[in-house]
Amino acid sequence: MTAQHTQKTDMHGGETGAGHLPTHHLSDELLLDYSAGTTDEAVGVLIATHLTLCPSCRVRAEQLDAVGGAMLDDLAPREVAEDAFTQLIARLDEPEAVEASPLQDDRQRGMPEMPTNAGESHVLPRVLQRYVGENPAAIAWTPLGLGVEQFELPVTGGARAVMLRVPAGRAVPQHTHEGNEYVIVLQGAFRDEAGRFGRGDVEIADGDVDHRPVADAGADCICLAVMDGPLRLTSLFGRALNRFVSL
Amino acid sequence: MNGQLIAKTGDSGALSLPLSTQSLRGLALFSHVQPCNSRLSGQHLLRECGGVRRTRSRMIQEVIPQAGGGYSRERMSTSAIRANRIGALLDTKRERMAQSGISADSGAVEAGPAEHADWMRAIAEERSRAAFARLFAHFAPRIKAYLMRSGSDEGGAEELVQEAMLTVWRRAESFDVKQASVATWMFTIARNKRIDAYRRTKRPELDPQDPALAPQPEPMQDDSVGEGETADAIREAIATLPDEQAEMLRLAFFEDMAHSEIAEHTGLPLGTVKSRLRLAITKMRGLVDEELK
Repeated sequence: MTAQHTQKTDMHGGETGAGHLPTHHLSDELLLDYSAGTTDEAVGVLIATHLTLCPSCRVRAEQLDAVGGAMLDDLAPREVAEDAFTQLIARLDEPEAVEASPLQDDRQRGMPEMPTNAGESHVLPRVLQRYVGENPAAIAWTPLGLGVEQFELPVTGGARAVMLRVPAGRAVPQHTHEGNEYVIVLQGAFRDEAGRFGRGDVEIADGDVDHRPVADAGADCICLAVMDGPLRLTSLFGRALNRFVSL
Repeated sequence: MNGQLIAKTGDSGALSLPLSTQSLRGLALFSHVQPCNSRLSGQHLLRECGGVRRTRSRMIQEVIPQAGGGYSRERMSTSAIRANRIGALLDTKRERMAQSGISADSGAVEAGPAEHADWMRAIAEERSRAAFARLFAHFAPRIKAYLMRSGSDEGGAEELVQEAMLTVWRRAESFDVKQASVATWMFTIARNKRIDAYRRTKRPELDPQDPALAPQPEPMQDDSVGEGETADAIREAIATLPDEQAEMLRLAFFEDMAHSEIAEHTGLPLGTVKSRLRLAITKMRGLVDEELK
């Protein structure tokens, strides 16, 4: 179904539970770009969120970092300036500059306030909390239509990142993608033709995928969706709406 | 938060400087010649010494034009030499060793992952500026090459090299050789500096203290294969990749190009780029698994 990405899916995934590990993983392509540092910020957030929840992908990510390290070691060196080292030595004793407060930078970018007792909630990995806040219930959701709610993350770069909340049992309208779409589940689960996606699972979908994800009954499905191109509604009704709806 | 995936508090062991085989060879060479009074490394330098007492600067002048000999890609830059000299002067322990004829590798041909790890340990535990000088001599020119290849101008690259090495000095204690090789750690630090500077955003990274972090399941915590062996296996695997796959990996890692840009740059179809990269990674992983069996 996904032509460009070869997604890894474990055959023996566990059911939801405290120790449940993801069964739908990041592709080699995504991990390579993350290790090389060429991913958009939105994609990086999704990747780091999955890595928080997936030990086996962390191993793969570390292997790719090791590839970077091995190749760095083999690079033909470029001579550094004559006084580079003496300059550096002189700086070893200078007090470490306090890093520009990430909080200040975040406020300028419109990031949510972090509650002072940060660390209480475990639902959202910390790398994601920085963009959406700690508590999923407290996110400033705006309606997308058909009961689905969204929250746009303040990210730079060419890809968008959107939190989605789909009520239990509800479907996201049938659509395909003009670029790539990556979705990671944080709470609840959804199903489509590619399988069932629970907490930590990543679905990778491109223009070859035309799907209608349905949230499992029992709990609202909260996920992070990253898109590097617009969506196209493809149901009979949806197609009529495409020119009026920017997704 | 650089290199988070591999940063951990290292355990402090006794500082020991294992003699590499090159060092032993150096010792054998010295056993029958006058001490050259040289602490500059390199088998070529020792050979040039030839038992004749020379001033260090004369030796350097003689050797440097031939530094291309054993290692065609590297000349010892004068700043690297100066770094080595400072390092040698500051470190009395290594001076004693050098006087007894053991060449303390300072960043030329012979220094490998084991030596890098020794230097890191000396930096973390003793704040050794000599070891830092050696680390600089080896990695600074490579980090500069990496940054310039990925689009930095020379001045910007020099600046970021300084920032990266400063981070190494300050965070030396957090380096854990069981988690990753020094080269891997240096790469992640340089990469993160590059992202901070040129993408105007910090690289999103997982928080190792995150309560949401899913721990490694028991079987995967098997420590019998250390990160050192894995790093070596990866280097070997990359060396045996078909040229076009290795080259594709280099473009992906070092040219700061999206896959579509690589396709444009090479004139290859996007599908070919992606499949070559996928093959390279799969092959590399397979070779590593084989190596480690």
